[in-house]
Amino acid sequence: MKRKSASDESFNDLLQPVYKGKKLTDPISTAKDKWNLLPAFLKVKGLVKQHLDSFNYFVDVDLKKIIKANELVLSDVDPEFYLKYLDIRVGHKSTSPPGTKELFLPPHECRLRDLTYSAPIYVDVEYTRGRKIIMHKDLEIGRMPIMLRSEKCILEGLTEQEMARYDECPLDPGGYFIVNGTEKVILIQEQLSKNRIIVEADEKKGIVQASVTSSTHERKSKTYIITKNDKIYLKHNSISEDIPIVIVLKAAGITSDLEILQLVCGNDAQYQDLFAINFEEAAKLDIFTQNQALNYLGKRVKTIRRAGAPKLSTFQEGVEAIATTIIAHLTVSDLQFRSKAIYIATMARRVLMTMHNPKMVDDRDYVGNKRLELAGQLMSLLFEDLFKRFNSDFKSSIDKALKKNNRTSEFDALLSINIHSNHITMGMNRAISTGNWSLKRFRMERAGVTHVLSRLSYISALGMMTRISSQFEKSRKVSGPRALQPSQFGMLCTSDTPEGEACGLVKNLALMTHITTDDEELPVKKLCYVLGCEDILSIDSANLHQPGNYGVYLNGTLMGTTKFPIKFVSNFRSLRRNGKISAFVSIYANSHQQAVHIATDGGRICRPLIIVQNNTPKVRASHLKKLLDGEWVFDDFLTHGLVEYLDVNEENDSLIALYEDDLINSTIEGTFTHLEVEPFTVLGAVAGLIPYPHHNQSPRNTYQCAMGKQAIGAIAYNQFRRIDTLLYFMVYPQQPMVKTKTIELIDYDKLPAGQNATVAVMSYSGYDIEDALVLNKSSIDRGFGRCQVVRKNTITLKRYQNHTKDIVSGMRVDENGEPIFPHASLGPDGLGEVGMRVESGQVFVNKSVPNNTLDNVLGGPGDRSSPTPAESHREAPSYYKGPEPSYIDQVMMSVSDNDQALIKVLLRQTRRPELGDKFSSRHGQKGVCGIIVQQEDLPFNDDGVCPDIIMNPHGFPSRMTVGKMIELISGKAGVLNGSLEYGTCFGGSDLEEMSQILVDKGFSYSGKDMLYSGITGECLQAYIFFGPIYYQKLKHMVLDKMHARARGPRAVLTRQPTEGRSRDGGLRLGEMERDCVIAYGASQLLLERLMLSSDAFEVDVCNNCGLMGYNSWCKTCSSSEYIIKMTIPYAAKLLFQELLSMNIAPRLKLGDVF
Amino acid sequence: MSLFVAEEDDHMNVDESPSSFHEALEEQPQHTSSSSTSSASSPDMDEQEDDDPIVSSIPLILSQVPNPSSQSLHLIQYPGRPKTLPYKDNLKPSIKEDSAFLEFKIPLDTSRFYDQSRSEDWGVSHQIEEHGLHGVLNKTEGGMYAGMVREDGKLILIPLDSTAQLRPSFKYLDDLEVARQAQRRNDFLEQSKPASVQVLQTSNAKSAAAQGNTGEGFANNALGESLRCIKKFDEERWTPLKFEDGEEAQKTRKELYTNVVETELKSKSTMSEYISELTKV
Repeated sequence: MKRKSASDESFNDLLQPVYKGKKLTDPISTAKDKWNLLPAFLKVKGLVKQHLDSFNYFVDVDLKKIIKANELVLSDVDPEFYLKYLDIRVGHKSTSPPGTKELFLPPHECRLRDLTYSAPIYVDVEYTRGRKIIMHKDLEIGRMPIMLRSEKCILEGLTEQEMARYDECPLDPGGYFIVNGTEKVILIQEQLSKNRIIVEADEKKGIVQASVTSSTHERKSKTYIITKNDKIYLKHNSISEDIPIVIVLKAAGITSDLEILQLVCGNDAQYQDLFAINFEEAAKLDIFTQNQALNYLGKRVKTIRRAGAPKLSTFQEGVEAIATTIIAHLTVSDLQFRSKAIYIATMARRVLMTMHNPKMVDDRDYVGNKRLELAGQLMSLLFEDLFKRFNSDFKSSIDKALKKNNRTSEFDALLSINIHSNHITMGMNRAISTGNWSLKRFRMERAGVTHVLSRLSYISALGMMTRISSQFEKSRKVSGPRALQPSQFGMLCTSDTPEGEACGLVKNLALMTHITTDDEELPVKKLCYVLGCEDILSIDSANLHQPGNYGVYLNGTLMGTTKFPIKFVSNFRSLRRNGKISAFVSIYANSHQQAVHIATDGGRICRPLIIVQNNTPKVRASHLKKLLDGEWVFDDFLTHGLVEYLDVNEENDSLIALYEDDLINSTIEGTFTHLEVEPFTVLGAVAGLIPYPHHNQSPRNTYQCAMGKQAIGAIAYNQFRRIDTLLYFMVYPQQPMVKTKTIELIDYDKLPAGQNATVAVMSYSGYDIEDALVLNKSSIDRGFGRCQVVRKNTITLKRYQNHTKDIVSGMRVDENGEPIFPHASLGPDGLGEVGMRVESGQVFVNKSVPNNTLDNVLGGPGDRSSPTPAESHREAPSYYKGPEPSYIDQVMMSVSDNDQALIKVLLRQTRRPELGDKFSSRHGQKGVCGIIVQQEDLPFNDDGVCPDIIMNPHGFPSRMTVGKMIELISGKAGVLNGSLEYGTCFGGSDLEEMSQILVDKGFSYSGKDMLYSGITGECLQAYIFFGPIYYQKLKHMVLDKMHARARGPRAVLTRQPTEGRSRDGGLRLGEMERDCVIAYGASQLLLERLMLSSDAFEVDVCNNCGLMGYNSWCKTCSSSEYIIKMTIPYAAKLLFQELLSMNIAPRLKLGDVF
Repeated sequence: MSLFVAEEDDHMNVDESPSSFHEALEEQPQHTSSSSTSSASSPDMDEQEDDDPIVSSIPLILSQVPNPSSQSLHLIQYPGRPKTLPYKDNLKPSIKEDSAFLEFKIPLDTSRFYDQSRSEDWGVSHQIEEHGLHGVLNKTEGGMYAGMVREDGKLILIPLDSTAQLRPSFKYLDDLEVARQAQRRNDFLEQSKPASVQVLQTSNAKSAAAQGNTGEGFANNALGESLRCIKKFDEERWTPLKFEDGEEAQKTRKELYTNVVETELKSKSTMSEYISELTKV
């Protein structure tokens, strides 16, 4: 944490003595300046720290755990043989000095050459060879894809200059992988928390169920405690019928009914009455002892016997079910079943409480009941699966080798380990590049885990890194999981979610969110005992549920009780604040459940808050001064106990003040425990771009979140070095006049996507209806909205088995020695020359492929002496196709990893805005260009300023985007004042101050100006709202969409026109359109549209037999007498023939119409 | 295995009088919590809260059983048995040391409240004369003490090795079940031909033996961990213990807190050192 990371550089100037007009000598007040914690936070954490943390944890900790769990490889043949894994490292050998990073190639080279950015995985092993035990260090078992900017990445900790040397953008967030040249993100997956009890009720059906999803390294299973006819049962997938709860508890060793009653109901008479019926159930079945219960259970276990496993008796099945199958995350490894019994009893108690009071149910959608699964966890699942496969393959090859008794030399196991090393490498690569996560041991298939990192703009890449996808079915019409949860305040962005089917299911992280990784349980457990928690194993059942006795639950498992929960919790917290335990361990008391819950598991969402004591925040001005002076970093605030991380559950146990003022004069009762760092952190990185979002109607902010990702702008500092499938650059991007603090924090001002347009809100020309915009032609000439589109074309030169290969041949010339038209842009080497214009139909790489690639034409292998004639090739050039010509921007030639030549040609187009191009402001107000007007005809103000854009005022009343109006006023004030103004959420430049600036500069306070008509020169009848608004150009451009067809290609089968723009297809006159034409009675139009313009076909119909013939000859009747020529759609003819092939004779009967 | 007394040593002081255990059960937890927190976290508290003055201080003396190599101290709880009804001196304890499993046999008073008809229902010919209590010994891993404030105001602490909760086992019901099953099997066998039975049995024995020879380790591997424990438990033999609740026990008990090397405990490590030691991963 203390390390200086490279991305920090960018935050450095935020911490400089003079920044944004603020000097160190300026008075520091906590209320105004505590936002400085935010850059400090991001300096340590970065924007995608969740991904990096998770990956680092996987590589450093989880890998070692996996190795430990699977450390031995034994042989069935030779009991003496063993191989033991001692250690695992990624990217550096045991001999190499610490900090060495052994990587394949720099990431950018991997991108360009379609390679995988990976590091070798080294293991240390100990194994037997004959009688000797041999240690082998640094054995490579495969390659691990490396997350960019993680601890294993070479970019980690580099300065901006060093980054430049690697062709890497210092603002790039990292957190993704490069697999086969494409950037892949493992999206954050949202899941219901594992190993926790969730109680749900269906009040209509009167069913209550408590369920727990147990997840261990080996298995995943779900255990239910359900009610049926007011009786409680245990349900599990591998038990064939529901087991009465009393029998389960007896099987788990609680034989006395009294103790069952004590554990489940305590002293509560109402609970006892509700539960009593369950005892009858067991008594009826004559089950009193543990052995009887185990036999009962064992009889009902669905056994899935693995090959070689011994057959178990019913009793053993019962023991196995209780010990490992039910509540699988609590594995019993000795005779003590008590902890499991208590867990089941707790579940039953929760069910009972809910039966008694239906309000005691849990909320599935509550963020505290969710866990986020990140790249590291998913990779670790995958790696463990692959590693197990690797070991079993290894074992079987050892067995095979050991079976042969007569060996000349002693068997060396290492010789056969290397054969399988490709499995791990390939497995990881395939999973990340396809996104199919198939885990054999859980029999789980998950598709769409990874996505290609969107590089449309900086924001779209950033938005993707903070995205959270839910496991919920998109098509299901449920409102619950989609709704905005109060508990997501400050954790998940309240605005950023897509519209449509994924609405509310795909979410984004808020700015200050941190996602925890797993922490060790054991130290926390020890600490609890020291803090006065009594061990559950020595607690009397009768006292367990005594009023005032709180259960202490560690990660959902009851580990003890305390009589002083408040003191216990506050002591625990003070230890955490003093840094004695991980800052991410959360603790809270739940009075309904009489429980203290401690969570150390990974995937919890948490955020930092300022600690408040006695209604004064612990962060003082002096601390902030230290921060600004660079003496302190964010972690110092943590270690000094001034700031702490709270997860959603613990937040629920706190009273958090939004502003410092609230601490003093608040109407809320109770003492505040925490203070927000900054309220604008409820929004995420993408929603943070919106100025004055708190003045907008909320869906407008959501719309902008979707559109901000489509805006064309700067992508990265290395954008001109990139060769991506499709990239858009804005030619003159500008930072917005009205910024937000978020914009500065995420460096949007360095990589902006938009321009400050002078907007006049008025009606003009009538080409501005329905949100259409009027653009100023001179502005476009000056470069407004101009963008570049670069497209990659990849050509591989293949090699074939018969030693022939693809070649690039030079250009062909006509009689004058000039290159022929298609080859005009080629150079002598057959590659397009950089800077040349390529028109539709021209070639940019003149590739030729050999005519014969299959066998060696030139006789057998004995015929080697004969001279090889030149191989014959045929041309297979790459043609450029498109409505507008392109220019060759870059040509790259390289060798990919399978030794084939790889040519990438980057084609560039520069586009000026045209009619139909889409623009949007930052307030969800999108519009297309309706007309482009000469500047002379546009209105102007006293200073002669003309608008770049005229927007119709009808866009405002129904949208209620007041933020856009304030943006205009603040922007105008900024322009006149020479300053950049802020529109930060719940803050920003004050409207009154802005109006004052306008007045001071001789403008109206309201932002309205008097304009003169550009056509008549008269002043306009009304004052016009006039000023700069930041406008984004969106990627939807007419050039990519326009499409028309007079004639063109047809489909082979039906002879109808093809479909779609890419195939130059026609526009279909569909069923409903056909209905309209029929209703209108335009029969000739119908005939023309449906047949003549589509697939008219002349057939010879025999009026005798009714079948079709050809060449005026009926084959059935063997005559030409009754043949009539007629035109029918080819599809109809096809239908008749297909019917014939099915032994159905469609006979046409022709008659005269008139 | 310092947990237990050496196997052959039959003069053991493992069990103290049950009454004293009850006392321990009642007061033990508070002792642990208060003693450890007051010793551990009071400096911290002092820093933070001044309204928590020291009223009096009690010298702590950490003691141990007089002969640690052959003696051990355990807390035995009887959930489901009221405190007012302690078990008397007629307990017959036995132990399976490796499995850490303790069993008490308690004679039933068949003269009073004995439901003769019930056992006739079950088809038991004889009276059930014994009642079983059993439980697993849970190692304490430190932190649990038997405490005693002596007359001189000093608190003697003796670390507990393990705790155990003893519950009724209803072994007579299981025995009944086993007997019934054996009966059923016999009935079944009698119906079928005895000759074939013999063959079947030998083949069974053979296959079992073969299995034992070839894949002992393998079979062990395939069994779940808890099943292996149960197997080990079944194979282990009961070691009978002696129950003392007379002069001897009183003597031992007194010895525990009188025969103490009176070195007053002084904290060498600081609070934060202690905490970091605890939370070390």
